[in-house]
Amino acid sequence: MRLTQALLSRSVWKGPHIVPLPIGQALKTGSPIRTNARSCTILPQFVGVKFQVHNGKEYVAFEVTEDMVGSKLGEFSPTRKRFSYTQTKNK
Amino acid sequence: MAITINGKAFRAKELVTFYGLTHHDVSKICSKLGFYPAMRVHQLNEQQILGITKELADLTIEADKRAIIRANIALKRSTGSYAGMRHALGLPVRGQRTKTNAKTARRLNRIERRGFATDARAAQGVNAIEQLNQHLQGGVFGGFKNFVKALF
Amino acid sequence: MKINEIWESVYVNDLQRKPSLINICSAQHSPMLRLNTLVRSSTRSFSSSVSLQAAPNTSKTKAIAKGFKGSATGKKSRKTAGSFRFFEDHVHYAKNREPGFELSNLETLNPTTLDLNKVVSYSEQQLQKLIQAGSFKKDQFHELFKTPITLIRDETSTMAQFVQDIATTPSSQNKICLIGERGIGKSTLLTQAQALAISQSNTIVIPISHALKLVDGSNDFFYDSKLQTYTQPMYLKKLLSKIEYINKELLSQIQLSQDYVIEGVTKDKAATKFNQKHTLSDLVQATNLAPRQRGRVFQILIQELLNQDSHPVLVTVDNFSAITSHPITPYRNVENKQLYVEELQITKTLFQLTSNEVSFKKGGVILATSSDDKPSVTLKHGLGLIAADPYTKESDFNRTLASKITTVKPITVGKLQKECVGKLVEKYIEANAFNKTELENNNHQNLIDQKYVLSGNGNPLELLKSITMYH
Repeated sequence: MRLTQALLSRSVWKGPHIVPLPIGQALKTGSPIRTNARSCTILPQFVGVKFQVHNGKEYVAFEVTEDMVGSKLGEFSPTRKRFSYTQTKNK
Repeated sequence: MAITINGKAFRAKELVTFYGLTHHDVSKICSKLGFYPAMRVHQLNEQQILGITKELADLTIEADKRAIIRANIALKRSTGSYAGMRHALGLPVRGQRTKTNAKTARRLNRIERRGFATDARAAQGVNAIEQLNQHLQGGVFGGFKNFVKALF
Repeated sequence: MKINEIWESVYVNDLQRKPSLINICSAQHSPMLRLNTLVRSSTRSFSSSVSLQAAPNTSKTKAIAKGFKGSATGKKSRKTAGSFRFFEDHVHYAKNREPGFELSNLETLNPTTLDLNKVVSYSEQQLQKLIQAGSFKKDQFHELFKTPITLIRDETSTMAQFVQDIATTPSSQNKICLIGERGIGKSTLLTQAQALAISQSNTIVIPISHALKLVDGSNDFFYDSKLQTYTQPMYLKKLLSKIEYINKELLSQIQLSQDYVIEGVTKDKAATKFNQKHTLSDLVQATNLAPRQRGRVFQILIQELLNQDSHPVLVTVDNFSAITSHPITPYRNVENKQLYVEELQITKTLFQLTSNEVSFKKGGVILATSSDDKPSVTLKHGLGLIAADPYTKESDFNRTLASKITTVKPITVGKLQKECVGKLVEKYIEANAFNKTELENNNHQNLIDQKYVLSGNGNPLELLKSITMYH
């Protein structure tokens, strides 16, 4: 991604969107963090933490890797199911 | 892959269009080599053509540029992000509608993205400079040499 | 390497086929034919410039307007996009069109007998030089006549007075700018001034016939580190050959005041030396100089003309408004920044003259504006015609440039009197320019009244249009 696009998405003076989450605790115990904060920016400290992020229906689990830093938590928890055609609605 | 070597009808600025070469890049190259705005391609001498190839060699274009774009998409896919998934499905990535339209996305979006202007040889990774030389020696146009001769 | 062969063949052909400008205009053609040939060879059309210069010096020439129909060797030439011309260009350049009407008993333009409201022609000597100077433009309807005609009007006497003044006073006191509406006769008055200066027989004329060509990026350029400006070799070639042709005898009378060394383009190329035995003519005609050395030649020429006081120098610039309308040119330096007009050698010299930074000991500068150019606040403010709004943007109002033309005196060219229109109408009737039915249905006075109204109360271009484009 080009630098400008990252810069244009949000004012620099605001910094990244930070949501208080129990990161330290999760790193120690290795237990997943269950959260509804889809718009939380993934910080470098999050790497290795397991998350369960709400997609409107259920909590989607994933583990944060280095490549994910800078994205939002919601990007890894799809909210829509792919349409697949079925002949009867009762199935 | 659209390399256009326009004969006398077009300006030197429109000399070559390589994948990943912006108008600004071309403008910079022309300025650096001292071409005047109305200069036309058939007025270039061999030294100037060599100058162009030298400048192009320093830029990230063609196969290199495609590789970068592919790597970016592959990274998104491997992390399992929404954008990567949309690329894989061949659907628009940035929230556009899909009930209608979305033609461009269907054409372009895939993990092994080919890019807007595509050429079989570029897909094989033929070097941009080699392509320019091939064109000058009567490669694709087949008659650039004759074309130049017809002018004089 | 194959590319090598291509360019080699191109260059060899190029060198073999370059007739000099003067050769093309040999005396065997009629004046207007010469005009056409010259304009053709000095104008860059859409097709290759080299193929234009390669036009053979025979009456049976290739009709460029109709596309190539084979060459002498029998080889088939292809019809290219360059064969297209607009109607206006076609009329002007077509070689096999009917020759224009020859008016009999016309007096020639002469500074001693300037009778008001009289239609005159140019003398053979004036005509030859004016054609070379590029003073006859293609939208001026000169094609109607075998040789151009002109009308002596109020402003002509102003021009005559000006030409008299430059023979005695320094150029810092003689700077005028012709302004006026489209087609009113600014360029024609400029041509008259040139003709009067030419007949003065010791005035050196430096004609810049189309200033837009200096700033529109149509000529090559490079940074001359010795002169510390950007020079335009292709343009200078034409300008120097014009100056040389028009002032041939005069330049050979002026000897160089000091020795000059024009250094070679590269270190291993020999330098060319000029000493005090040489004249300016030798300098301008020097054939062993490379295109890149023309900037230095022009610099020495101007420097010598500034130093001498034996010959008055008249600098004329047509379409001057092109420069003030486009002070930031499309030329770009190696850092990809657009060049400012004063970074170019010729325009820099012009503004040095208009701003009194330098001045000919005897001489003057005539600028003529063009209504083709975007009206610019720079020009009007500089000439003192309007006071620019202090908040005008820099792109619309270039303050530096405006400050350099403040001492130039604006001369407004007005509309023609009804009598003048009458005289012109008579000449056009004589030259069969009128539509027959129009001529039959109206009597003389009626026709003059009508045409005076149709020409917007005396605009010569509108008058000509209303006559020639009558259906």
